[in-house]
Amino acid sequence: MSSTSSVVYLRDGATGQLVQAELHDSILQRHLDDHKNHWNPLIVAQGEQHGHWDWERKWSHFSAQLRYQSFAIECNGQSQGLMIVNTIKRCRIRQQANKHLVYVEYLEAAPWNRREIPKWNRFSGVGTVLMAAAIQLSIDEGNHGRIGLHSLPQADTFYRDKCGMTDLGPDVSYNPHPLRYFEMTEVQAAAFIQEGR
Amino acid sequence: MSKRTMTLNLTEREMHVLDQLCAKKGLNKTALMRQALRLYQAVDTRLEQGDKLMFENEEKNEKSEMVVL
Repeated sequence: MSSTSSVVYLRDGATGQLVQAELHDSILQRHLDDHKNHWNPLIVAQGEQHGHWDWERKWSHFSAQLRYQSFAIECNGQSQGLMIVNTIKRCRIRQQANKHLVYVEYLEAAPWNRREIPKWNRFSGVGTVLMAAAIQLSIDEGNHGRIGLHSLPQADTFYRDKCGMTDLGPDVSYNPHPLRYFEMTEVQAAAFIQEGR
Repeated sequence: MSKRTMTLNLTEREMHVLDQLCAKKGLNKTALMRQALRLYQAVDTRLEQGDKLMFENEEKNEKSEMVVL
């Protein structure tokens, strides 16, 4: 698997300065290795909700299917965020029901980049850059920026308030837990891009 | 990701359906054909695993299997 990369910017948590990073349009083996060797020990130690996410196993399953695409952010030679999206799902909001969107299956920032763990706050903006990548893919696919996702409880506020997505409430059909479903309309996507969230 | 170009030959009827679906979904022909290929692969993979393709209408309480040969 190969990838192409583009330049994106993250904010250094210590200096407040913008730092250059690379957004790859595919997860590569080195990103999976970083997750296994550097992220996972910290995630397990924190006992986080998605500590069970095994990206190596996930990507070995998803990478064979055209409907899935992946992204990774690298900065300072290390993976800072990973995302897998599904391109054949459809919208639920009434005014765009049944239209195609890009559905975010999994999005994870490296543990040292998470707001809820301030002592490790190394780079901010990882989630925002990955959301922007999902919106851009949606635009490239002809879906006008429409995206959707089920959110882990600790990320609800980010998707609702920071990203401006519509909260459709807990989805009881989502296994194994009824996570809240969020969807972004074309207008919300344009606002997200315009405001540089 | 790099892309490659191909020529696709369709009958008049197939092109008509493609045009209709593109208009309905707001997609161009390339985007719609790519969606169709992804969906075809997804369905084929599940069928090969022994799964069935089902359609359900909750309002009418109807469930039917789509037989894919």
